[in-house]
Amino acid sequence: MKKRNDVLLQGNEACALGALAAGMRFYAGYPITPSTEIAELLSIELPKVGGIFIQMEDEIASIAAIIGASLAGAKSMTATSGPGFSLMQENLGFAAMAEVPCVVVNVMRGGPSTGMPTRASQGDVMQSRWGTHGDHPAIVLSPGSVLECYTLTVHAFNLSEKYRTPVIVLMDGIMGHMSENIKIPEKLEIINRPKPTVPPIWYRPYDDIPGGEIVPLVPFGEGYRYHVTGLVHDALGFPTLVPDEVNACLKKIIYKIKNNLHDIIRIEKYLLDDADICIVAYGSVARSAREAVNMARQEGIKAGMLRPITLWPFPRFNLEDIGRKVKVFVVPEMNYGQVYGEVLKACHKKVVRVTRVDGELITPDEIMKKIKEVTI
Amino acid sequence: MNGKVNTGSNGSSENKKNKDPVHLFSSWCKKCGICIAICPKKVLERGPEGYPYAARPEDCILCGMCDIHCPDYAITLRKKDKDKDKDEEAEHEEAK
Amino acid sequence: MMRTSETVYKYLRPNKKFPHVWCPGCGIGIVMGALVRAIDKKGLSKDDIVLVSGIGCSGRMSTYLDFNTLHTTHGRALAFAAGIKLARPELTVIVVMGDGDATAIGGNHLIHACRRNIDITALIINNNIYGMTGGQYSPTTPMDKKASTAQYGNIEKPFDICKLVEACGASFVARGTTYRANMLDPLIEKAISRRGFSVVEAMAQCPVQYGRRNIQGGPVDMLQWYRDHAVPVAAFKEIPPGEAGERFPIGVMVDLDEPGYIDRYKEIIKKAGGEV
Ligand SMILES: Cc1ncc(C[n+]2csc(CCOP(=O)(O)OP(=O)(O)O)c2C)c(N)n1
Ligand code: SF4
Ligand code: SF4
Ligand code: SF4
Ligand SMILES: [Mg+2]
Repeated sequence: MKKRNDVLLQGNEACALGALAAGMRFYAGYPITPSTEIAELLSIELPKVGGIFIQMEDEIASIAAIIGASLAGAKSMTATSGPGFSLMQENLGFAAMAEVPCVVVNVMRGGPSTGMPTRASQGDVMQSRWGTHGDHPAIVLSPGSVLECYTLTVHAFNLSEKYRTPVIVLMDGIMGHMSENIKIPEKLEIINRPKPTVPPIWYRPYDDIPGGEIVPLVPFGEGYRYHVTGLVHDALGFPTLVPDEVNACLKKIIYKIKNNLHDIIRIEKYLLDDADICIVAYGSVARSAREAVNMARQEGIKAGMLRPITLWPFPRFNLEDIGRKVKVFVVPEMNYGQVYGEVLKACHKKVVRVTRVDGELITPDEIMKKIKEVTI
Repeated sequence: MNGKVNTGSNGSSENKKNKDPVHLFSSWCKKCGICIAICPKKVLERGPEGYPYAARPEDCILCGMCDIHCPDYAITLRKKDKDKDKDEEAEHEEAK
Repeated sequence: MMRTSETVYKYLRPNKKFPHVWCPGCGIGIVMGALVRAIDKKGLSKDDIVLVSGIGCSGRMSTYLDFNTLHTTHGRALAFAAGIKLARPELTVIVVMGDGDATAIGGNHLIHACRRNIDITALIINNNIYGMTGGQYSPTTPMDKKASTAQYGNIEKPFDICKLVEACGASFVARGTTYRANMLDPLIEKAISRRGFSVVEAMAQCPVQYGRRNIQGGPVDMLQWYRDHAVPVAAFKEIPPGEAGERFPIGVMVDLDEPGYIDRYKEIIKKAGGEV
């Protein structure tokens, strides 16, 4: 593939190219608007680099296939939208439980159910956190530009390999279909799967190492024969119901994320230093929010924006800090207030929301109107 | 009963040729009775505790039907004396 | 002389507790023995085998055998396996599923795996029932038979798994029973040797959930039922239409050995200018 610099790309295309740059060599998916372009582009590009593209019979099979491919050592990904993301939930939990790295892209569209296939939404924020059953970890990234669709996809693979967990790239339909001129970064950090540090008999794929070190996942076929299951398992991967082992297993998958928030969480602060009003916005809505901040500043209102790039784990501590300085939070989002609820939990200040679920983008004017309401 | 149990001991062990043709790992045996029913020569019978044993070892033709049909891999054919000798020889070699 | 159990011992995980979890007289253990003997006969290295299983009593097999093992979600084993095989075609991928696993919740994956013809061996352990969840009727429970959710008798027409996968394009299809355990090994061995997608349906007794309700007696009676009803394919063809009753054919039904998906995908890579 030619190196593409300074190119006009759609968010979906940038995501696909980012995945290739990260070393993704296995893609399985099922067509669904507004994510399909990712599959289409990868069906062209993956064979060129000797990678595998396969269109599976549904989304359940798609995520199953990428988990399988990852266990065989390939960096792997699938992309979908709402209804398909719902179908993936059981196996997403499997990947979290069995600690298999993989990347799932969900280009959100209007829901629930078939909803509005061609209209954008941010309605899957909570599903991306709690979609699968049981207590489980979640890393969810939200790109706010076409460039970020590229870089965050790379980052998603890095986090996934580093923490041996599925990572979700949560885009919205506007982000996926928006075109921008971007300069493809020449050098980006790429994390590859670490090699095993012990010979096969000493290998304990699910060991809980004090200090939180994560055991490298050795691909099938390299002489390290071990068992992988979605059942609660012991350090060797075998099913267990011994309370101590159950606790260790479940705690580990959650705490490997919780203990590394500083590494995982990324946020963007915009004009927040002296702000009285903090807008919390992500994805395409953050673009309107930035504009609204500029408008407010022109009118002498001290507004700023916090953009969670990592939606989950939610940047609660950053919000707490900001909450000590600002008077009010405004949370615009294309749902009825999914992140709004998280902001409420994180700080004891006034929090207001601007919501839209009709498939249209929230405009800077709408946010500005709310800013004015709260400044009076 | 635990571990390797010599099943032939309950039956007649007169027959020199086929004394104790089968081995039973009683801790793996679930007493399902398949081996007893499948034996073409009716060699096996249920012992007082429900475990199979070779009641007529002299009739055993070493066909392996009991072994292959045991869902628990609990019954296996005893090595022929010839095989045993070979193994012992090999061990002897190793020891050298 | 056959000392088959001793072959099995070589492949059991030393760090697992035995006896295994299956009920006394359960046919799954017999099928596992046949699978192991087939692998042993082929002389494959444990490191090169991936055993993928679904959820159910049969799905528990992956825990016991000393290969690279993956115990997936209910019905999805074939889709996981496809990912493994495509990412590492040099590995031998064997998938063990129950009848419910393979043909109910996983039915869609099964028919598409046949159509795609990826080089995977599917071993479907058919006990005509949902064993693990307590004996509910499955897509292969015969009409009028009883199940915990068909107390008045099953009114759904069952699948003939071999016919189903043949129609969907599987390149090797065979059926055996636990009564003829020694016939299962060569069937499985052939299935592993063939290119493309191979299916072996192993009829295996579930004395606890199926037998108890439908056949008077225990595991032995169930084996005898297989003995009386399983007919080699050639002989089965001689039975006049409509007179087969509960009898069913066993043996190799399809043996095409066609180039599979991976061979075709290599062509795609060439077309795209990539390196295989
Ligand atoms: C998504 C999902 N639905 C239902 C179940 C519950 N369940 C576990 S095993 C099983 C049926 C197993 O039947 P079969 O595949 O025939 O295997 P067997 O136990 O008979 O070997 C069911 C319904 C599950 N684990 N996951
Ligand atoms: S077949 Fe095996 S488990 Fe059953 S009674 Fe015989 S030895 Fe025991
Ligand atoms: S080897 Fe054959 S004859 Fe001997 S006990 Fe077993 S089944 Fe019977
Ligand atoms: S319930 Fe049936 S299939 Fe499951 S272990 Fe028991 S006998 Fe076997
Ligand atoms: Mg079943």
